[in-house]
Amino acid sequence: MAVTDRMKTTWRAVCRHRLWLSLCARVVLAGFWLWAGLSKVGDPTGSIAAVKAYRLLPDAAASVVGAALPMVEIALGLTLLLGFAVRAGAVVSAVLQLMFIIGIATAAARGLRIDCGCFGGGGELSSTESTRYTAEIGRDIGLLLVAGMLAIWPMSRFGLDYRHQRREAKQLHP
Amino acid sequence: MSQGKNHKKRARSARSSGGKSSAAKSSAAKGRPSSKPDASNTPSRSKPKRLTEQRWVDSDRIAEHRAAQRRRTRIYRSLIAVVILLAAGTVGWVVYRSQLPSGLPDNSAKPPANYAVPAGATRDGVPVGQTDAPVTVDLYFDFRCPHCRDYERATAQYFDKQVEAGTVKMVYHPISIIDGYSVWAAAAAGCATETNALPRFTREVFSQQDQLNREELVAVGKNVDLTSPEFIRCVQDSKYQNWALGVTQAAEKAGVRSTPSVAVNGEAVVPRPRGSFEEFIDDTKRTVADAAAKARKSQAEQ
Repeated sequence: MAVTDRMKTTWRAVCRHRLWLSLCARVVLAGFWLWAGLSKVGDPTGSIAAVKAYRLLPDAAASVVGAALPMVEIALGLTLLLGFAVRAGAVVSAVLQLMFIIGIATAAARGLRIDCGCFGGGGELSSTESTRYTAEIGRDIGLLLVAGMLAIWPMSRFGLDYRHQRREAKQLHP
Repeated sequence: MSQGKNHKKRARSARSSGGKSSAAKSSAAKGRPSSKPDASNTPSRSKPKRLTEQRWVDSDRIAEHRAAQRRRTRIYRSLIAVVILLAAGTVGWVVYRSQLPSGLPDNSAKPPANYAVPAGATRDGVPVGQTDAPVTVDLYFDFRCPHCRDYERATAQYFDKQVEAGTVKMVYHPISIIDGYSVWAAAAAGCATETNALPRFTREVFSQQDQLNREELVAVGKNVDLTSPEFIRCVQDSKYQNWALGVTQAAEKAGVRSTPSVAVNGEAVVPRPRGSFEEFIDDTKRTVADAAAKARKSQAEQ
């Protein structure tokens, strides 16, 4: 009884502070996207090699994805950081993370020895390097959960969406 | 926050009261006096009540209209975000394409049916060493793959000794699985093959394993005394580009899926799961030694 009560109060506290909670989620997700994008954007050839190493896409498609993905990640990080259309950004983030998880999991299942190439580098591993599939998948699942939370509660403190909503509210009730 | 919340609450209350009012309205249309027994007692109240009802209906409509408007702006903003993401991706792709040197080949292209093969090479590789050596080692590598460079560095001395002793015939397969620069390098390797300079040319390319364009490959050749005008023209024209593509296709047909791949007498040396690089090299050497011993034994029996 006491436990459920405490859970209820915690849940209420979470709900009460969800604007701040969503802000944290937004910043974390934006930080990861910016890090991932910026570390790859200077080396599209390496990024393409990393995508090809998964051997899921035909070469032509892998080139497009490898060259385009870093810029998409940076743009996604910026829109999330600015708090613009957060729900759309969170949904796209979740879809991308899901794709990464599938890619890494199938790479592990097929016995490929690759680096995920999530933050630059990537591609085939030499025999000395060990794979880190579990850590990579764990991190991506964590980010998927963050993105999912943000898709459910997209409104957060600071940012363009927040300002937009406040302006709208002021127009309604000056 | 507080404003947004308050606003939401108000909208909700307006909506719920709107529902009530419409129900009241329908009952009024059916004929209120009959449905409500006490209505006949107070007929004078009906007029002001209707007025308030009308006001509720109006505010309900306004709230609905505003909600629709909000929904629309939200959708617009989401669409703008998606367009931004797509535009960013397109920019990345276009910038990447524009930075590629003109004429960089597509490494996954299929070669035509007939193409020039360098002297001393076959359609699937370059044999080096005595043709009757008892052990054949196939080495599949990409000039742009760092692990191939490491592998080559770690095994070069060993293989040189084996080739010199006549126990091993090496077959180099310079395949292009990374990109167009791999094709250019492999085509240049074909040029080096014509003067039996492939091993030292390979080593020199590996020592500066960047994106090498054709002029840079000429300079690489110069470092290992490949200065003949034929060689320079051969590299500049990528004379053996189709051969390089053909070697890649042949390796793919042979089941090579990653580089470096090594086969001893046709049997692949498979890296152990979670094995180290050193173990892979040890495995290669042991497999070669085993094959050599087996060959010696069968020779002695004959």
